[in-house]
Amino acid sequence: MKGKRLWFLTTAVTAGFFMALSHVSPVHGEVTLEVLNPRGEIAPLPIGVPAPRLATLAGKTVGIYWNNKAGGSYFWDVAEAELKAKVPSAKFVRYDGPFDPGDARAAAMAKEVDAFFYGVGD
Amino acid sequence: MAGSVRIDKIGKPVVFVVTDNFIHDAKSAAEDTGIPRLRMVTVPADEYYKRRVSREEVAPVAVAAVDALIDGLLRPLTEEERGTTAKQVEMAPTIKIIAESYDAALEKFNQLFLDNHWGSGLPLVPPTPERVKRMLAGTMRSPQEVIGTVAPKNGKATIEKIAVNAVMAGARPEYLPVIIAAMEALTDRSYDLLHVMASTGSFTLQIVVNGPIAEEIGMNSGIGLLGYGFRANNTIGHALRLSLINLGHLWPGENDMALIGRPSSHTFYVFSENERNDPWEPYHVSLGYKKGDSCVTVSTVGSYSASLSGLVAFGGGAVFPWTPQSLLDNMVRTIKMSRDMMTVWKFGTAVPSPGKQFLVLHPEFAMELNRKGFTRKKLQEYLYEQSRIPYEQLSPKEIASVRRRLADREIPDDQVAVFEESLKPGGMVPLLIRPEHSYIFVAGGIPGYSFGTSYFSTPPYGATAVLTKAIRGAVLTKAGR
Repeated sequence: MKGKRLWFLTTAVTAGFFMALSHVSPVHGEVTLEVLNPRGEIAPLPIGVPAPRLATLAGKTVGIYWNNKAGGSYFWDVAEAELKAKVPSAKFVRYDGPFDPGDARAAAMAKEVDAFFYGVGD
Repeated sequence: MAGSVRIDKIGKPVVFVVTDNFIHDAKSAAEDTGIPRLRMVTVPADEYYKRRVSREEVAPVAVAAVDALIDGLLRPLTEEERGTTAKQVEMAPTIKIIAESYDAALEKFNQLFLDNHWGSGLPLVPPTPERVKRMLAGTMRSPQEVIGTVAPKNGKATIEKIAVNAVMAGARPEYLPVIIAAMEALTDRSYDLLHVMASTGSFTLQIVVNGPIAEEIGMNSGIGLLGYGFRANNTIGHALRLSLINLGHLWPGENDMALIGRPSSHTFYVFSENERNDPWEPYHVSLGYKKGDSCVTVSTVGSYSASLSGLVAFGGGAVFPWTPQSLLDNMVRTIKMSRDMMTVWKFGTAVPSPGKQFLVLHPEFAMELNRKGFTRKKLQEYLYEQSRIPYEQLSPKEIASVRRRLADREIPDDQVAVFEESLKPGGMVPLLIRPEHSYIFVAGGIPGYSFGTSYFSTPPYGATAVLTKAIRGAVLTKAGR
C-alpha cells in the first residue's frame, strides 16, 4: 500500500513538473522592442457625398474645366467632338483657369452648366 | 482637386479626369478636400503624356475615355458612394516588435517601418520610450504642445511626435529646438508646404540656421556645408524628412509626386551661415533679430538645373581664377534666364509667378563685395536693376503678359507704379518683383563656391515659401532658450 502511494505521488509530481514546463516560453532570449508611433494623428474629416448624377445628357450643358497644362486642350477638343457626336443635343462649354478657381468663380460657372468634366493635367 | 470638389459641393455632378499613375494621389486629395468618393475617370499615363502633342496624336486616348466620361455623369451613385461613414483608423500609441535577439528585432523594426511607409529608406534608430524621453529633455516645451498640422494629410505635429521622428533620425537632444523651429515654419498657416511636398516639380527645402546655437551644436558652415559628415546638419535634415513623411502621411508615387525625387532627399540642404567670416550682419539680424538670437530660415527651393530653378554654382573655387564681377555677372545671367517663363507666369497655375532667389555667397566673395562697398541691401538692388530688361527688347507677348499681371493684380500694389512706368520707351522692366526677393546668405569655406536656387515668389497654395522662426525652449544649450 505504501509502495503504491509512493508510486502514485512520484508519478503525480513528475507529471505536474512536465505540465508546468509546457507553459514556459520555448524561446529563450526573446527580445521585445517597444517603440512609440511616429505618425501624426489626423482629425476625422466630414464625409461629403458626390452630387446626384444626371438622368440624361440630352439637352444638358456640360462644362469642361482645364488648367492649361500643355496638351490638355487637344485631348478635350477631341473628347468634346466625340461627346457631341454621341449626344447631339448636349452643349459643351469650355473653361480654363488655375488648379482651384475659388468659390466665386466656381459658383459662377456652376450657374451656367448642369455638370462638369474637370482636369488638371496630372 | 479642390476646385472640382468645390463645384460638386454646389450640387453640379463632376467627373474628375486624371492619368492612372496619379489616381492614388487624386483619391488622397479627394479625401483631404471632403468628397472621398468623387467620381473619377482615368486615362493611361503612358499613352496620354506622349500623345498630347497634337489632336491627331491624342485622339485615340480621348475617344477611348468618352464612354467612361458619360457613364461618370449618368450612372446613379452606388450605396458606397452615398455612404458618409469614415473609415476608422486606429493609431496605437506604441508598437511592439518581438524577435529572438536584439539584432533580429532591430532588423524587423526597420523592415516594418519601411513596409508601412514610416521610414525614409535609411536605417532608423528605434524610438523607444526611453530614447524619446531623453530627446524631449532637449526642450522645455510640453510634449503635448501642438505646433501645427502637416500637409498633405494634415496630421498633427506635437512636440512629442517631432521628438519621436528626431530619435529615428539619430539626432541628439540638443538639436531638437532647431528641428521644432523648422517645423513651426513649415506648419505656419502662411507657408505653402503642400506644393513642396507633393508637386511633380520636385522642389526641396533649404534650412539655414543663424545665431550662436549653430556653433554650440556643431553645425557645419564651411567646406562641405551641403554634404555629409556633420551629425547636426545631417540628422536635423533627416528628422525633418521623417517628420514630414509621418506627420504629413506622405509617400513617393502616392501623394509625393516629385517625378525624379530630390537631391539630398533624406536630409535636405541644411547648413548654418558662416557668421565668423561674414563681413555683413548675419541674415537673421538683417530681419531685425538680435545677434544673440538663434533662428531657422526655411525656404522651398528648386532641385534641378537652372531651367527648373535648381542649384546653380555661380563660381569661385580653387581651379580657375575668378573675380567678383564674374560671379555677379553669372548671378544676373541666371536671374535673366527666368525671362523664358515671362509669358507663362500666372497665379493659380503650375508656374504662378517670378522667382525669389536664394543666394549663398562664399565668404571670400562676400568679403570682396564688402571691400567694393556692397552691403547686403546694395547687392539686392544691384541684382534687381541689372536683371531688368529694356522695354524695347520685349516682345509684344511679353509686354502683354506684364500688362495682364498688372490688370489681374498679380503685382503687389507698392510695385504697380514701377512696372507701369517700365512699360514705356526707355523703361526697364523688372524680372524680380522687388530687390528684397534676393535672399542673401554667407556660408561655405575658404575657398568656396557661391551658389543659388530659386522658387516662386507667390507659391500656388499659400502666401509664402520662405519663413524665419526664432529657436526657443532649448535646455541643453546656452542659446535658443
